[in-house]
Amino acid sequence: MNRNTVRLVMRREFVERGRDRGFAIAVGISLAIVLVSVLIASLVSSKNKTPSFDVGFAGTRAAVEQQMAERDASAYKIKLTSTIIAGGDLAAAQQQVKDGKLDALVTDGMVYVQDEVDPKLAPVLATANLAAQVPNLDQVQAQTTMKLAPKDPAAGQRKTVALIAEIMLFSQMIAYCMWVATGVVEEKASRVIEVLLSTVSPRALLTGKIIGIGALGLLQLAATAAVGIGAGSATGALHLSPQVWQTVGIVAVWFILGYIFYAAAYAAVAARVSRQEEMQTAVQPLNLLLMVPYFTAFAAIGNPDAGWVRALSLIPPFSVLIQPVRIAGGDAAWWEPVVAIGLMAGLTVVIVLAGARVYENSVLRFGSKVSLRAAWTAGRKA
Amino acid sequence: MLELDGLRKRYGDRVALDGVTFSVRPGELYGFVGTNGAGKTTTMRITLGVLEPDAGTVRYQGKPVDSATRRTFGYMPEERGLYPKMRVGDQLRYLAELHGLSRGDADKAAKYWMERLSVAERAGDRVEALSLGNQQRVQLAAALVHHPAVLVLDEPFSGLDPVGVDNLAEVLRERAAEGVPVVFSSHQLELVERLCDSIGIIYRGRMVATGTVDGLRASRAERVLTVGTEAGAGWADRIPGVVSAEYGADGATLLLTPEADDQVVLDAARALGPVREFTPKRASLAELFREAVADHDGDGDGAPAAEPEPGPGASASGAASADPAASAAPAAPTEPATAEPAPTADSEGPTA
Repeated sequence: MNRNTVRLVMRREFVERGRDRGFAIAVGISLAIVLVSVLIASLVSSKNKTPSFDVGFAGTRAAVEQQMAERDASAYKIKLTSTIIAGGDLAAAQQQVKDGKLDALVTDGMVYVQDEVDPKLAPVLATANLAAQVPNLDQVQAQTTMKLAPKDPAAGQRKTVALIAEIMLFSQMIAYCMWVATGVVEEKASRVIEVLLSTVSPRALLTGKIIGIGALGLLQLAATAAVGIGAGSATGALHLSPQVWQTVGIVAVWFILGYIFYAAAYAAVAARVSRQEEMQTAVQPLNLLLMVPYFTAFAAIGNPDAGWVRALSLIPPFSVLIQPVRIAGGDAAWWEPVVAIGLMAGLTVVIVLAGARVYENSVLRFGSKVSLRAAWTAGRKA
Repeated sequence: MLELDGLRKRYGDRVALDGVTFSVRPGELYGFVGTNGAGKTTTMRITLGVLEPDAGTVRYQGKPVDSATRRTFGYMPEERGLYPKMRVGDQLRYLAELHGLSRGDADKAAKYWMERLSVAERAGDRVEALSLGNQQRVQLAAALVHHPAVLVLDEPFSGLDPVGVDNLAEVLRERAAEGVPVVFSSHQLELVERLCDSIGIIYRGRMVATGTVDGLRASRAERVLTVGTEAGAGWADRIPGVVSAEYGADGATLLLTPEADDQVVLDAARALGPVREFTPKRASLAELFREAVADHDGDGDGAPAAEPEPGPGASASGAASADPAASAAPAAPTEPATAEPAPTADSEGPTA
């Protein structure tokens, strides 16, 4: 296998596919998906944002009440912007409440609001009101909370990240493997394969094709990750933690492994048929082999630390789509991805060798679908 | 020199090639003819390494051809094939590079051949947007773009208009003149006859005749002679060497044995009156082809198991079957334009 020809084939696949409208559309769609999910995430997170209130304090206890309210605001998870209103400005301040410029106006024992006190604001004001009436403020004891079973604050984000990683992995693998299959059949259907094989070995052709198209897939993955992370951190939907970069790395590794595995299988299956229409039916079983782990992954995301998820996350080719689910779980052992990757890499080598053999034996047989037996045993040498 | 030696290929039970042997000298235009399914395409695919033979070797300059050597060959398959969505210029550059040219050289060569085959203005178009004729030109450019050391073209003329045919013929002659062995197959036998230095006829996986057209003519079993004379019917019946005769108003058409002396016939005719026409009828390649095929009709006739393992070299059988040396040798002195048929020894004494 000539390295130079592999490089040439690779370059052609990369350049020609990259120019293809299909690539632009695929990138567009994946960027759109990421942007939309970031948007949804930021909307959801803005809903949970701490509410903020503008409150005016007036009257004789104004200064103390303001001080107490400010102190308690964070405990009640609100943001408070407060001002002291001078006695003469009271009418103007009431007008501001009416207009909605102030959320509340507090005078000694009175709270002026548009309609009703916001339930989040009410306890703060009530506490401040009470505290301001205590003669010796220093004797009031503050309350401290002890967390006995704290929740993981990042669990939600981890789940979201795992979900996006899952969708990205699956859609990328199926799209790029289909491209490999289409490319193989295109060469067969157009008969250019015969010209090519007079100067390139089938293995070099297959290798170049898989690497070239895969490089394009990685490029799309990188672009999607860059846009997603950029948009996510800009809107505040995503905290740029090390975990995010780790996830990107995990997705890249699993994409490379899974893509090579499936691409070799798709290429072998595609080489056995001579027309695009036949290819669609021929690759159905492989589509299924991708979809079953994918849907299993969705079931697994809700319960990432379950025993069956741990088991499947190690077994190839399930591991391709199940292992990334473990991102959502908090307690993956260091050896789990190592074992999963090792097993998957081993199986990938087997599939690549078998796929290359079937490809080599089938790619010049035109007409009806090449039987598996003929593809395995006979071919160019028989 | 490109040598094919004892190529055998079997598809399942069907024998596609049964010991194909021939050689093409540098600078030689070799016409490869045969009926459909005779084994031309299989032979060419094996030559290019697209297929592997069950037995036999392909040698170039005396050495068995390996993949590095094959990269210097140019090939135009019978089933035309280019990437339909790739631009013409890109495609030619790509193929040139695959054949080992540097990027710069590939670019130059692609430009040259697009210019030469009048598709330069379509360089930026996708192949699928071109007319069939232009696609054919691009296909040809694809076979030529890397300055091949050997050219193997499967049916290069089919689908070309007369201008295209002339254009291609010129290119092939030019390549041959540069010392490149050129092999092409064609069903257009007049074209092959006009163009080729040598031909090979393949039938049912065997070479049934190889050599120059004249050589093949010389080796055929019978000769036809047209004599314009007013002599009465039956005048030539008893001349030695005349196999049969057909008499018409203007004269007779005689079938002679290879050994017959046509001068004896002439003397006999002149003895009977004036002779206005005396024409040895030259067999066309088409006739030679039909004869060669007819002689071997039944060979390996759909009975693959009949001769499972014929020894090497037992490729052809029958009188006209010829290894290159045997059929080419007696042809040498013949000049196509002369009325003289190929010289043969006077075996039969002339007596009128």
